[in-house]
Amino acid sequence: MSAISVLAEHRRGELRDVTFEMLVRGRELAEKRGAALIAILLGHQVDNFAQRLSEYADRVILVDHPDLIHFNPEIYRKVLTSLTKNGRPVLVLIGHTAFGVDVAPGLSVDLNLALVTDCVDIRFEGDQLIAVRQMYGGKLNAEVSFAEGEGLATIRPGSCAVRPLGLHGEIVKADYPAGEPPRREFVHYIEAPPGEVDITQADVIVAVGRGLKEKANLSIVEELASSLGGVLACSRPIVDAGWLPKDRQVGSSGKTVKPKLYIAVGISGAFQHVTGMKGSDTIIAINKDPNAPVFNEADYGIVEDLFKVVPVLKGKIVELRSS
Amino acid sequence: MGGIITPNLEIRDIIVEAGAEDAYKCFQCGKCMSLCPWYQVETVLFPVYRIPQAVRLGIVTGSDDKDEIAKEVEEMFRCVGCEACTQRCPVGVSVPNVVRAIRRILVEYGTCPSELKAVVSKIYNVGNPLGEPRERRTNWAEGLNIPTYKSDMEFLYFPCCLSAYDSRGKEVARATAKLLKQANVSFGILGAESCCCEAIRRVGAEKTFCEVAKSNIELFHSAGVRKILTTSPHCYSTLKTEYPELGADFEVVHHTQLLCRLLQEGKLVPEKSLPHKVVYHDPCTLGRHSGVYDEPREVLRSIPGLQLIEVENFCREYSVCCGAGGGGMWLDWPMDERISNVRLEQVLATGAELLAVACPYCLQMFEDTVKSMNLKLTVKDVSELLVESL
Repeated sequence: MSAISVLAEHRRGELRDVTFEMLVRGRELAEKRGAALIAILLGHQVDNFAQRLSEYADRVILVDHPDLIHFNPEIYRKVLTSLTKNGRPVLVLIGHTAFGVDVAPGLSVDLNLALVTDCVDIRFEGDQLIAVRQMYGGKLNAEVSFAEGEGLATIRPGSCAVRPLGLHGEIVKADYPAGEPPRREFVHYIEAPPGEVDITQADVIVAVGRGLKEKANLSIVEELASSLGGVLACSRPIVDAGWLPKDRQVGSSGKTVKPKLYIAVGISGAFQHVTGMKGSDTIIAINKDPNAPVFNEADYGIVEDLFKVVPVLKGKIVELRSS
Repeated sequence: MGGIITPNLEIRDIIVEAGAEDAYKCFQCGKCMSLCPWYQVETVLFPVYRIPQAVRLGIVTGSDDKDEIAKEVEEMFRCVGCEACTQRCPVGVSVPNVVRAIRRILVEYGTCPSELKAVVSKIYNVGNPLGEPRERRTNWAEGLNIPTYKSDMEFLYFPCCLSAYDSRGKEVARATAKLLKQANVSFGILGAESCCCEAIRRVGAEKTFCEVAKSNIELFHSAGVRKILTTSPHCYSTLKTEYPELGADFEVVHHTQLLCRLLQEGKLVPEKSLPHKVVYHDPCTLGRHSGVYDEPREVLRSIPGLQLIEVENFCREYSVCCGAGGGGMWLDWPMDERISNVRLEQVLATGAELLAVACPYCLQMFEDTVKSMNLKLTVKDVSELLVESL
């Protein structure tokens, strides 16, 4: 029976979200194809992960070995190659993450399977396996097909919503293949320096502008950002005033961001700012001036004093999240 | 290396060939320094007189360290091309031309600030530095009933990209159009044109300049254009003095020149009093580059109640750049390194409450500075003041 496999990704005691995203996507593919959905988990003493994955897969293949405590692409390649001895999967999904892009190319060579990277969508059309990947900084979607109808794909994190699949897959243990000791070994994790936030990676950004009036008011906007699990960014005047560091500035001379949600608070929307945020999925603008150009870019606009709106908004979000 | 410099004659020849012949004339007297606007920004050391010498020795970047080189390259983009140095130079060296040649080489090798790269590619792709869609180019004219240009009209009105797209800039284009209609000037707009590319030529993107400029010229020729009216002095000077290099032969008029003529002919009669003290800021490209000093002042003098005052020692050919020239519009220096701050301090010292400008770049730079320094000063284009007084 053919299978769709998903490589589970975990780091420091946590399964990464992309794993479940890929399993949900894999489920759709497996149903269409009449194939089994298999989660592949490599680790050491990770039975709890296997349990969770079994709710999302028809089968969990678990390889448990002390060498697998930390991610190591070399060992992963060796183990994954050995697993395919009993039958090649139609498709292996791997996260398009620092972890995934370190494994997938080598694995593609070892298995002699085609690899499509950074896919935002993947589907069967008849027997054809079609992957969608973005080009030119997201301006174009390219549809790529696998010549043999089988292959490997790395999937962009966040490209599929997670929902419970309610499966009860069996957990199968597989052997750790013997062989040469790896030439690469895990040394240690390097922590991101505290205080530095990469706003380009955030899904939710709350940005603040000149309407803030005083530095002391930053806290109310910061609270809104954290209630949404987002980060705080700003337009140039806030950096000029020294209230936030330059790496938080959105715009032509700052960063270009494309979050799922961008809330512009007290930002008029000069073109220098707009140019850095107009690619966001949803833009909400809060400004008391109904003629502020930011409303031209916004999907939703609130014409009101930010000091009235922001605390109420934050209160509602906290209320919704706790209920 | 003990301060020993090894000249690189190959690099020298490449830069000179790209347009830096003036470098050979310089004998490093340093007079250019005294008028360079950066000289007045206390936190910045930008020794402009050293640039021709550096070219002669072929050592534009003198360091081996990667970060140092990046800094040196960034410094090359400080020059705002205001030509203040040129007019003081005893042998007529144009440092902006020397700088432009250096930038051409830097751009060719992909070494220029990322903001400028983005501007060049936006112009190349959609015809304006803001990256706005072409089809919105004439949105500024909504509700004004401005016809599409036909060859029997006198003027093609060519608003700057900022006047066409930026919400503040649009107000100037609208004011100008209202004045033209009031005076029954025969004019139309196109909307298919691209940026004049003045800024990116100064930045060094020569190829993109030539390509886009040629497409504009073709468009104007096919529409039968003979006279072009501009809002921006940057468009004015480029269309007038640089497009002819590529085969253009249009008469180009800046809106302050036309407004001055319409006032003299009695086609516009300002009546309402605007009781304010106003300083007129000479844009470098209109003043020093093009010699237009009097027409904008005449327009302001025609407005009842308006009291025109000058920034002593720093007006007309000695005016200080707003900082937006030479690509500076698209760069962002730290708060304490902005020429516009210095310029507005000079303006405020006169006691003026109003600053009149005649350039979309100056308008943008000064309005930003008024806000960031929290100043009590209103910035308006000459055309906006004239509309208010009718």
